[in-house]
Amino acid sequence: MKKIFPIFIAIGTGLTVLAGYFFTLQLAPVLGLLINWGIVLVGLAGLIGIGYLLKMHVTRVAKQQKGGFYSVIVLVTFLFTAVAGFILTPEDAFFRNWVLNIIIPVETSLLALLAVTLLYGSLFIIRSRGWTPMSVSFLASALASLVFSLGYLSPQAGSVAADWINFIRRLPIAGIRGILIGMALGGVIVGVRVLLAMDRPYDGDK
Amino acid sequence: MSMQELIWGVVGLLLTVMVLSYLIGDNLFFRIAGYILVGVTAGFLTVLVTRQILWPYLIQPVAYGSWLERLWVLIPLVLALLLVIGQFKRFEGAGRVPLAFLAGLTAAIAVGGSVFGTLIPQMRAVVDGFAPSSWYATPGRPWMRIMEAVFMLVGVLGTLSYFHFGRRRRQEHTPGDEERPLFLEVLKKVGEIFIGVTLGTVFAGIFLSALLAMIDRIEFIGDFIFRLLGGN
Repeated sequence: MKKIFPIFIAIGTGLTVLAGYFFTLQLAPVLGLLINWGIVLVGLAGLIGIGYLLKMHVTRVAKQQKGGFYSVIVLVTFLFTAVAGFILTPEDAFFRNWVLNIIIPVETSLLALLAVTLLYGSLFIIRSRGWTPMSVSFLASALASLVFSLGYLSPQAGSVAADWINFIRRLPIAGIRGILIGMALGGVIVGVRVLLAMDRPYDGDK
Repeated sequence: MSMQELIWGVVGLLLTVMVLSYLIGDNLFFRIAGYILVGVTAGFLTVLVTRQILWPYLIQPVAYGSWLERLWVLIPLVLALLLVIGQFKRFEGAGRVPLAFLAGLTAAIAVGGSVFGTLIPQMRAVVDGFAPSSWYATPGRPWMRIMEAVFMLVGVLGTLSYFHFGRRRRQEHTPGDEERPLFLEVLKKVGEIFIGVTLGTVFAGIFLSALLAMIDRIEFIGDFIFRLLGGN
């Protein structure tokens, strides 16, 4: 019973949601309810995840392990942000300034660092991968995309050159479609396996 | 420049310089900035999840809702409690029920979303390219539309066959078993080119975004210092 009950819950919930795709009007209230419950559980799971993160940092500080100084920074900034957010509201000007003036500069600067690492990585692709069809087409496509994005290549609409440029610009869509279809097929297979209880991610044993 | 603008400007400037200091190597300042980001983001998420999800969907109906609303909240409340209790080693089994609920829900959403949101529209887009009406829908050369449709079909099939790792099922293992059929090998090579083209475009897009972010940061530093020195 201990093992069957979760399977019953998973299959029951999954089939109800799937039925909702075909009987939209009839099952709309039930679907709304199930999705709301799912949102609550996902939110709570997120909080539990944050709890584990904090637990790890508290342990590191308490046991005076390596990197304890950084853990203190995490704990102090977390406590300050959480307390300020609960006492004030997320709409409060100070709280918004505090969060946005830390998150935006750090994340934008990390993205800026990515420009350097990407450039560095692309220069070494041939050395590490060799002259394969993929590496050559990758570099040619990246270069063409960068040239097109400059905006200098804009021939008269309706000309042969414009048609060819449009054709080259649309070429990556074929690969994207293939990757998307492949991912969707993978999603369907994994989903069906969970719904048929062949895969049980909620079960510790399997 | 007001005092508030000055303080937040200095915070932004310091954090930007701390992160960009990674360009000269991994250092203390870069790590401090990283850990500050982790702490603030975790705190912000805690506030958001509690205020925007748990409060309106769980706590508010229990505290202020009608009897019917309380009854409906009972199920997610029990599931939430089981999820929390399941984190303790002794009551590990309790967490299986809410996780099973989430697994069933996400699996069904994934199946439905994949079929109706991706598979059918994408396959239709490939097939629609061969409809004669689409060749004349926009001004241009019809033969180019036909060529594009053929390239799309070959590209999609090639990309899919690149990720095909299936083998023929046989009772006895023979040396030729490892080889894939010739047409799949050819399609795989074609797919490799199309995947390279796609990844190259994605790379260029990300690179451009990252470059814009770098320009934005440099502009911010220059602008802030200029204003600090009294410029308008």
